[in-house]
Amino acid sequence: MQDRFIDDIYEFRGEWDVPSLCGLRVVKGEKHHTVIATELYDKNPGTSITAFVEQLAAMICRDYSLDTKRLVFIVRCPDRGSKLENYRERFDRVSFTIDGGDFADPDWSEITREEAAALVGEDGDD
Amino acid sequence: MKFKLIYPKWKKLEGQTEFNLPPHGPVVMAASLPDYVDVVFVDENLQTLDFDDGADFVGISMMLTVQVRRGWEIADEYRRRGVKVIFGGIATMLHAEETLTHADSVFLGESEGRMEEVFADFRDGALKQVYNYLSARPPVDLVGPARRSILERDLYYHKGIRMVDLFHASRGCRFNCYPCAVAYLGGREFRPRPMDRVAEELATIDNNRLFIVDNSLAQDTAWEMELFREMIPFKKKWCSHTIEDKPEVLDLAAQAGAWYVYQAVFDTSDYIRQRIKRYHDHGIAVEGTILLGLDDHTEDSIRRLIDFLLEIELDLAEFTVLTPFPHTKAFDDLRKQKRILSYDWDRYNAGEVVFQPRHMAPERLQELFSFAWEEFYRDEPQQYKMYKLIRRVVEREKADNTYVPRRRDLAAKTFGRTAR
Repeated sequence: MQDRFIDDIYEFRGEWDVPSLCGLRVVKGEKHHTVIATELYDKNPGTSITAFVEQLAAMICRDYSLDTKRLVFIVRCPDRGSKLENYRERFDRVSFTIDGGDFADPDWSEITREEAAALVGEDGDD
Repeated sequence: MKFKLIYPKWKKLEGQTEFNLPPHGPVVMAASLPDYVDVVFVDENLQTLDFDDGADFVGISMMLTVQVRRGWEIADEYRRRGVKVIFGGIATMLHAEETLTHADSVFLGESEGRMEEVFADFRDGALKQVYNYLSARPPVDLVGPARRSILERDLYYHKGIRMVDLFHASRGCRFNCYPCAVAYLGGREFRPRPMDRVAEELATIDNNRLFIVDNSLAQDTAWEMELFREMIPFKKKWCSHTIEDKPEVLDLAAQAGAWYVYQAVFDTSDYIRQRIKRYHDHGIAVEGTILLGLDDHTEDSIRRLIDFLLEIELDLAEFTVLTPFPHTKAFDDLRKQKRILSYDWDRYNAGEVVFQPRHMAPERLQELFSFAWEEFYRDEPQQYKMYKLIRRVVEREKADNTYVPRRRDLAAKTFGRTAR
């Protein structure tokens, strides 16, 4: 089934320059420029989104010409179908201190799937 | 050139049976050194470190997070004396940025084929701050026999019984388990060593008992079976991480000398029960590795898990508490949920609770960790269960004429010290 939160696979150089991947949906609305970055787990050979979130957010904003003042940055960890609770789907909205093009002090707040979908203008159903 | 390679000491967990196995990382790294380098190895867990022995260049090899602070102290002291220090190894890669502040140089990645450059730079006075080969791994066929001759072998005996030697047949891991950093360290591509290289190394090891330290042997059935076929003539007895539980694999593993395997036990399912039974049916013992503190774990579920372990007759159990090592999903999750309570790396020993568990207080998880050890080993203490395992391997060794009696001259020593 198509993953409705991924339009693109974003390639980036992660920690120590390791080639890395994440799923990406970018919605440039009037009110918000919303990014949903999705962890790809086994398909990502390199750094996780969480470990590199400041640099990654800066890169995405630069590459997609996003307005950092209107930025809503969401990280999604998809369900891996594991028996472990730790692999359930989870969405976090990440806030940063932004100084020019530099992002710092990431702070994660969990949001629901519906809230994430609403922020990108969807109903959230797969 | 005298290159001093140091393996920093760490504090063992209270109440834990002390085992000092011959380290693997340093002997693998030493095999990749240029011929002109005269390497002296110090395992600080067993040997006293002398800062005044005239080393030209110091290497610090760190495997565990609990080694890093001591590694940094050692480096600071050598650098105060004007000796250049380079760091390498698994824990260096996990803590690279912090380590850089204590180092002249940090090596990230696998050493084969890279040390000529590092040592040439050192001789030219042009050591780089970082040698970053994390995403440029060498061809695995470059991995030759480890250089075990750098070890002071008599130190790795307990009351005359020789400890297992560590050996690896592959690198990388296609799995990416929740608490594990191997995907970051060795890559997610399974990289088996060529069988002739495996056999070449096995032939150099004069120890009948091995620990195959590959992350998991259960990566490719055909390779796994080929490995076991290759091992049969060597008549080694070995323990390893997980192997597949298909009957044809287990048959070959038993013929190849499988002694016991480590098996992660996360739940009380029939899947685990049957898996353990299949190992046992093939004469292979099982040491369960049980991680406590996952988000699924409640006090009741941990108690049920311990009962289950006794019921399925695990031969040994090793309990640890979830520890959010950097570059793991556990670290990512707990960091973003603001549940990491301490970044004191000395406490990242897998026996101290350094995070906020989901369903209980950290102190309660700490108590349950102690309870798990006590309860599992209440009727049969750990040393007795280990004795039973050793007795089994001795019987098998006697049957195939590979048994080597314990060293009488070391019977009163434990890891180089007088045994109590």
